[in-house]
Amino acid sequence: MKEPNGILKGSKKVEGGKLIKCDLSLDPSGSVIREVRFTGDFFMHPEEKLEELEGYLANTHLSHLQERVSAFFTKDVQVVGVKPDDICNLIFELAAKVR
Amino acid sequence: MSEWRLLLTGEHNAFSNMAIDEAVLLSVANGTSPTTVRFYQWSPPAVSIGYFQSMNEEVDVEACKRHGIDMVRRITGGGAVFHDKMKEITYSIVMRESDPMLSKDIRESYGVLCSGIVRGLKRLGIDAEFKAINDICVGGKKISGSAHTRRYGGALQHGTILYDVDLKLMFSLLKVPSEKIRDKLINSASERVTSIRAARNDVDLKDVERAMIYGFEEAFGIRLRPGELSEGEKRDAKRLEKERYERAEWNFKR
Repeated sequence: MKEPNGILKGSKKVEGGKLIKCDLSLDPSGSVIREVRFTGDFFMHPEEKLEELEGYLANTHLSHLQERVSAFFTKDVQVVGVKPDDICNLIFELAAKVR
Repeated sequence: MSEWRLLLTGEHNAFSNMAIDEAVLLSVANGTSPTTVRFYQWSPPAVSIGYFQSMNEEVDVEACKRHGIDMVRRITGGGAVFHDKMKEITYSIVMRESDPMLSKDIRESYGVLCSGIVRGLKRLGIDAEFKAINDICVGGKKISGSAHTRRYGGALQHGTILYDVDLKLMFSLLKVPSEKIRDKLINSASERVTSIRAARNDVDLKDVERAMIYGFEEAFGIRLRPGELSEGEKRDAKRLEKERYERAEWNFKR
């Protein structure tokens, strides 16, 4: 679903896991993340890492998304109820809608 | 046998309840208070949402205001919960992060810490089982949910045990994502959620509290010694209530 302000909205219920929702805006080319925001009933430890992830993914080219996300989830960050791949796939699914 | 502190703090509003949990986390983490189990209630009733949730997306804010229901965002992740008055028991358990009981893996810790509640429910003759990630179920229906965080060098897990449930009111306050309902292939909330009253209509909230105390003691091989909040914890709780939990900047952050 694309809102009038250009924000793509989507969500994914992970099987046996939690719900993650995503608000995504892309640059005009449709291949670079301008801004991304995640909400949902998943867990991330430490919690503040989610905001860090959102900032870290701004200006990321979609072709580098998977490596950027896996580099972020080091042993110091635990995400429960959602896997890093779910985060990437949700962004890819949303981005595919504007191509 | 080691002794943990038992806190029965009774009814507080949502902001105070969440501030007390965090104040206890601070004092247990820095070693000034022992491992603590707390049972508490909410007055007025309240909706709490997970750290990563958006209040406006999860909660019908206007309906809560109409019903005089508090809204608060937790420092723990997880989902939105309606804490109805006299209809649930809320617990928290706080220990140092270095406690040998705790795995580094938070998913594993849910099973460990929820075993006290499972044991308490069994004490009431209710055949409950832990269901990953963070639920306790009876006959496949959820009766309890928990959320865990690690910070300041401590670990906090808090959660709710449903004593009774007013689903009509609950769903008039919460916006439930349809994806979640579809995934579980169950179209009625009453088929997914149960309560102690559904299994036992002859026990009151105090009976449940006593059973939970027994459950924690048996599951962890400890004694719960009734205690009070320390002066430092009361001060921290007041400060956190004012500076964090009462503030729209915190509750409506996401």
